Amino acid sequence: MSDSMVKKQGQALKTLRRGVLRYSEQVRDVGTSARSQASDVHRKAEDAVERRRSNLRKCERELSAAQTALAACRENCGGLQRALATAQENCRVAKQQLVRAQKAVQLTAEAQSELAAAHVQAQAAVSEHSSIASSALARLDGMLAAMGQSNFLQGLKGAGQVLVVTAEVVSAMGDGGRLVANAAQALGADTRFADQSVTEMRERNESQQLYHLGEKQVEGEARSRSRQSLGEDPGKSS
Amino acid sequence: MTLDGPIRDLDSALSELHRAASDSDAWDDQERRRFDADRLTPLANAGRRLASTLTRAQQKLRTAEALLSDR
Repeated sequence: MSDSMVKKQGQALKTLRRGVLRYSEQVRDVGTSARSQASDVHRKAEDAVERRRSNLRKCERELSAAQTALAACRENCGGLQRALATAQENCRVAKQQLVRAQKAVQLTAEAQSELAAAHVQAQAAVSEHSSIASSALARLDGMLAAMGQSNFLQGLKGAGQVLVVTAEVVSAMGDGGRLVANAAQALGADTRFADQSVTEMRERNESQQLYHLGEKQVEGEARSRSRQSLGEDPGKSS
Repeated sequence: MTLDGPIRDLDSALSELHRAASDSDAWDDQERRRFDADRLTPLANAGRRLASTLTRAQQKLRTAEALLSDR
């Protein structure tokens, strides 16, 4: 696979992985928020039931009192009759309000229960699939990265071969050529100029020093023989 | 109105997932198609089922709020 394709697919995997992770967070947050709002409405409904029940009890006491007062009245009872009628109407409305609040509690309880079940199901499904998806995408991303690195190393080997040519060009410079060749070998390129190991490098240096000493020894012996032939003292330096 | 926010957020999440899937079309082979079927589609379906429940719940909560008003 080409480098650009590796890069594109790697980017695609990262995009998908981010999208999947973000989606699972959003589903969790949405479910939590919805349940919280439903819970608020449910609490209001329960408070309303308490208030309206209290109101109905008050109405029933007033109704009872109005009935007692009217029962005790012997004349000019019109006012008491009107009071009784008002108390009866108030109680009717209060009872109606209480029933509505009780219905609201039932509806909000159903909504809460359905939301809780749906949220748990959604989270379970999202957790399962997003976890597997995320792992799979991470694994694929890793494989693509390795493929890309392999392409990169292949590219470096190509660069190493360039260095081999360079080493051959500068071989006349001795140490310079070997240094370049060592670098080429580090990049996996094969070159006859490179040292194979530190030991071998040391051995090469030592053998070069021995060679140089040998050269000097040979030079010294040649100089001595030359002086002898000229009748000079070999021990004296020129 | 109750649950408007969560419903909107879930719609947005579903759109973003769809967009991430579209943006990642550079990965397009048999493995991708299997991934879409095995993972992306179930993820989206889980979200849609939740969205459906949110809508029904919103209707119930709206009715409850109307019952609680003093009118």
